[in-house]
Amino acid sequence: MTILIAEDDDGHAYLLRKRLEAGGLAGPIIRFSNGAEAWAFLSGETSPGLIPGEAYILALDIGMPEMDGIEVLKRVKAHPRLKGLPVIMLTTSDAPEDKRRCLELGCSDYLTKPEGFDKIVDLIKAGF
Amino acid sequence: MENKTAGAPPLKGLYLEDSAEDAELVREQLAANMPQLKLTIAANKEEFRAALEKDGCDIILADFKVTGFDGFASLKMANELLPGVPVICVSGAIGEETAVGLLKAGVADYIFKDRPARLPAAIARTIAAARSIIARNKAEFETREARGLLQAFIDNTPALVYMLDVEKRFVLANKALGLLLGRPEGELIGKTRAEILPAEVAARHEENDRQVMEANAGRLFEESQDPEDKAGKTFLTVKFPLRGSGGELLGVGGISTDITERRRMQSELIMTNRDLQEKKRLLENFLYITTHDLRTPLVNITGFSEELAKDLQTLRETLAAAALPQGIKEKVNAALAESIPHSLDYLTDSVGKINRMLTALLDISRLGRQEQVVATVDMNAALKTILATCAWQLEKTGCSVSVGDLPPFRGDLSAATHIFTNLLSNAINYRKRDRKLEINISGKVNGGTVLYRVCDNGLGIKPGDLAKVWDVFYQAHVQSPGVERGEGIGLTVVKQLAERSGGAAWAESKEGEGSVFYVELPAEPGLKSGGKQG
Repeated sequence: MTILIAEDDDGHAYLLRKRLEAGGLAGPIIRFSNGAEAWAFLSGETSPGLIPGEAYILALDIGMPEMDGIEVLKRVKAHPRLKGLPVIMLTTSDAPEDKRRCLELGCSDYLTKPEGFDKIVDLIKAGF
Repeated sequence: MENKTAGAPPLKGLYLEDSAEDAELVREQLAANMPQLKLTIAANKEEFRAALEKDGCDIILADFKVTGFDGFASLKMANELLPGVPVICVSGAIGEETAVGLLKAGVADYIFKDRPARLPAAIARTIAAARSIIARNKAEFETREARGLLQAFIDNTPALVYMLDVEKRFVLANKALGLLLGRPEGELIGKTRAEILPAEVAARHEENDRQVMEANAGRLFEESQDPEDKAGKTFLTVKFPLRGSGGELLGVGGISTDITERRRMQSELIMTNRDLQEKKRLLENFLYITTHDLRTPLVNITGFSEELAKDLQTLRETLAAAALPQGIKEKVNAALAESIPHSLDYLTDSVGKINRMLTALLDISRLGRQEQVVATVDMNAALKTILATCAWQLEKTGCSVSVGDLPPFRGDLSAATHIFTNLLSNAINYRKRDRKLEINISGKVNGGTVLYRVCDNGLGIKPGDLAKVWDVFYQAHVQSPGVERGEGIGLTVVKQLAERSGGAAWAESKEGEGSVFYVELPAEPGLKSGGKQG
């Protein structure tokens, strides 16, 4: 399984990678520094996009420059080819309105940092 | 004849006559026919003057020929000393010219001494005529006086006071209106507004006048009286129809109060309020963004502290198996077993504290961002739910809660839930551990508000802390075992929510005995005061 990480903070991205590795999820990890980069990849603007038949999961931060995570989620879930991609929100925001919005848009789960770094590992391992 | 005059009001007469015989003749005649007339005789000029000066009278009879004092002189003296009292000349034959002269000079009548029988009728007629003149003069005088008083009265108010007739002409205007329109108020009388004000302004006023006359009732208008509207003055005008005693429409009256300053202050207040709202919004937004942004580095500190702890464990296990020189091993062990974990603990503790504070700040900033849903809130049902939510805590602490019949309030249910949950948690946390916690909740309608009361027998609050407990992050320094240190925002939230709901919150307390927290919220309109005290 390829784990896609959209995370603007280097520290958070490092910590997540470390926890994933420690959890035995040593598969390919692709990191994007903001929402726009993630969307460019997913939509196929800067890459061939997702390979059909391959398993992917997107760990998506909310507060990011250029394009925030909610916008990325909205686009993914509105995209005919991408809407099946599991998206786990991993954010510092515990605002109920953010959580409600993301769940409405169709995210698989909503985790807050720093506990979320460990929880996402468990979720992926459990097949979320 | 006596019957005819009996009961008539007494009259006083003065008769100037130097002939005692003539005087007696007239007196007899009058006593028989005009008993109500009390006649004083003056025999000469001096006596006549003295009588005029001393006593008033209703009628003066004067002989034309008194030694050294003719009819003209006596008339002059009488007119000077008792103006308005009629004089009848009583005399022997005088020339027609003299008689006409006397009448022109103001003598009311002329009677010959040889026909005294005519005297009573002449006196009665003269007095009646004089009275009617006096009455007319008096009425005229009084009207003039009343008008003067009215003018003085209206001239001394800063309000604009005026009356217009049905022809739309000013019939009354006060000084303030004259000053505003830049001409003496007297000059306004008889003029229409169109002759004074610009056509457009005049038309506006006249339209308001028309409405009042048509409605036949007083009305309030906001008007400008300024011809050019230079000063930009605004007046609050009450206009009312003027009607005569027969109900006929006479015109319209108006009283205008300058409300320019009031309006200016009102709009300033609105602007300030809007400005404050915007600042508050910015502040809440700032608070939200800042606290939110601060979390990102904090997550790193937490996450990396955890990484360090893990690495420390690995290091400890690796070095335990390694053979190191004795001195070095001791030093490394001391660092690995004590100082590094100790530092990490401090880091974790502090991060936890900052995190809790940030959560609290976020909670507070969210209060301002949340929409309130205003409805009638059944507090009996709401409190039942709140108590069910806190049931575990209440049971664990062995607390007993008594609740009176609570009146409903008008506001947001979730705000009330937050308020009372916080107050209950507060009471539980600050309970006195050596006695059973008892909480009593009651409420009553107090005018337009409902006053809820949450009373406990807990630790109480020191007098010096009573005002501070509402401050954000303030935590009472309670030296009592078991009290958990929260974020110090529970009561801040209570106060903010109560105030946001249009109410208030305050407390009374006796240290060691307990506290009473009051929450005032808007009442459901139409609820009667009192009652429902649980």
